[in-house]
Amino acid sequence: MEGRAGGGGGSGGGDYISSLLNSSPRLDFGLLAGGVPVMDGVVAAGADAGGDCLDKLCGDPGFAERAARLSSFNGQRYAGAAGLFEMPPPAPAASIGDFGCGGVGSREASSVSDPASTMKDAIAKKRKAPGGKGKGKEPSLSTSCQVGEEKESDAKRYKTGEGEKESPVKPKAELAGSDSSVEDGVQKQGKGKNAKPVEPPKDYVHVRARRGQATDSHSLAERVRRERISQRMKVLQDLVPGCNKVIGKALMLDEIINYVQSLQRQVEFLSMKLATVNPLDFSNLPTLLYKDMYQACGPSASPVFSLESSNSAFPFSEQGDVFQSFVPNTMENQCTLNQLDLALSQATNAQYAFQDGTANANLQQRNFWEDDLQSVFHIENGQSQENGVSAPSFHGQLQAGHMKMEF
Amino acid sequence: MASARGVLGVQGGGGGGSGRFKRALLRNLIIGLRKGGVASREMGFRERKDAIKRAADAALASARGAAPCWSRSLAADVVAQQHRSSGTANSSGECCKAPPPSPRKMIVCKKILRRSLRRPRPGNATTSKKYGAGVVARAMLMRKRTSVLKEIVPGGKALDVCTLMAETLDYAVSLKAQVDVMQLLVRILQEQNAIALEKQ
Repeated sequence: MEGRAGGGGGSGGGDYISSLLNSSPRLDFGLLAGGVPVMDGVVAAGADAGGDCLDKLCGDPGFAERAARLSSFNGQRYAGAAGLFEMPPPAPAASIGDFGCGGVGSREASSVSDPASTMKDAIAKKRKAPGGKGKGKEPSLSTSCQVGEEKESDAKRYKTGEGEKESPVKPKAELAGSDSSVEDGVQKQGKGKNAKPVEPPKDYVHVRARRGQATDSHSLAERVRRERISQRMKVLQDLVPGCNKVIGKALMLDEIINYVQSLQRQVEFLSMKLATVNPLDFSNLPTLLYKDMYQACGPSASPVFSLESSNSAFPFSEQGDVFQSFVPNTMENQCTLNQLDLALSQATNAQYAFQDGTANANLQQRNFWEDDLQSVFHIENGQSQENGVSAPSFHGQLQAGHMKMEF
Repeated sequence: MASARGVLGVQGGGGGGSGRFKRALLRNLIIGLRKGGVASREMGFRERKDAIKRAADAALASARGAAPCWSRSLAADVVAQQHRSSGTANSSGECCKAPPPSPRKMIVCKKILRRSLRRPRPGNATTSKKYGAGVVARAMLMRKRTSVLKEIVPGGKALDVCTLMAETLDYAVSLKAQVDVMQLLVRILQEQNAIALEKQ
């Protein structure tokens, strides 16, 4: 039966993401990159439940993995969709069933998941099991797929290509829409941890055909694609306020567009407001911010604003340089914006040279700065624990920290 | 101060993103604003507003990192704008992002696109029979909306619908965080001014 840990069972994609958004502040980074693949993969949250994972989760390995998975997920999507056939031997079009959207509008009962993401999710082991709201996104694996339309949120079934336990999968690959048997693919997720060290290349995405649906590869790929789109739209639905009542892709898209546009307009308006604030000086900023930031955000915020107070010789002339530092790297995916931040930090660190504080104080500040930077870029927590860093090694460490980051 | 604490409520809560992200945003924003020389009085209002918006966008893109597509695209936009505004044509070659595809390539791309759109897909005859007019109309609406979305999300033009959705999600969350941070900043500065005025 479903081998997912009980707590994990409750964590569907929507639950995961919405609870992340609402409750745990630090997880959102993970959400941003990993939320989507998690959605249609497994949320193997069962094992690692609870807030004690929060710290680890904000950390990087899981995040990096999810981010990596996202990229590979996207890349694999078509590969998987192309290779929709679970058994290498048999001819594709014949044996594989397609679940189907009955049409553009109707929702599918079953879904295809990328097994790679399943595996990776299981392996990542850093999932939080949110106390999910039971939004329909929860992959209720015990739900049987019914022939005919039903809400797309139900009855997601997951199958792997490896066929590790799935004897029933193969023969049932026929057009067996009526059989509506639930795939016990779920159990994989629990056992996935043990199973798959190696990921993807061999993964196939399994699709089950519904009765009376076309099975050619084009429509299969189409359906996979549509399914993913609808999954993501569901996530968006949870995100955008007021979107819950709206049903239907087009209306939801409308809402989303409105929301994003309104946010953009708000940014414009706020920048206008900031422009009118006169005088715009930051010298007193720490006094106001410091207390609150320190209280709310933790000690790592404080040195940021001690930085602010040393603004005496701040180089305004460096206007262009900051952005130039990352322009040449725009095409690279990795570390593009690290450069920006590195340049920023270096520019600001130059201030420390002018500062006539004690070497100790400088050191402390630099360490905090480094910690903050690292935390921003999700560098391993272990690395940020070192506090006794000597001055010369600071930059070296920062470089290393940046290099470690993977996006 | 109670008011300052209230201000902070914006920071800590809100569904716009993690506290850490917001902190990074705020930090980047402040740094960017200072670097942008916004405190100088010589700028006109409009210039100032543009500079602030640029700084905000740069802060957002930088805080978000290079992972999502929109963030890289946004960063590139910021840089392009800055070069334009400061009028520096120095080494614009290397400063540009990828050079625009050669005209020939663009023509070829357009041809392919047109061809693919015009020629009905194999099996389309059956599908058009299967799907009624209503469905087709709905599909067209969807297409219109996705194109609008592509305009809105930076860098969305090059994405397929599926990735676009993910990017939109990410972008929306980050935008919300940016708005929150900016609101916080505005409030703080206004309070600061009010306090300074009182002292006088």
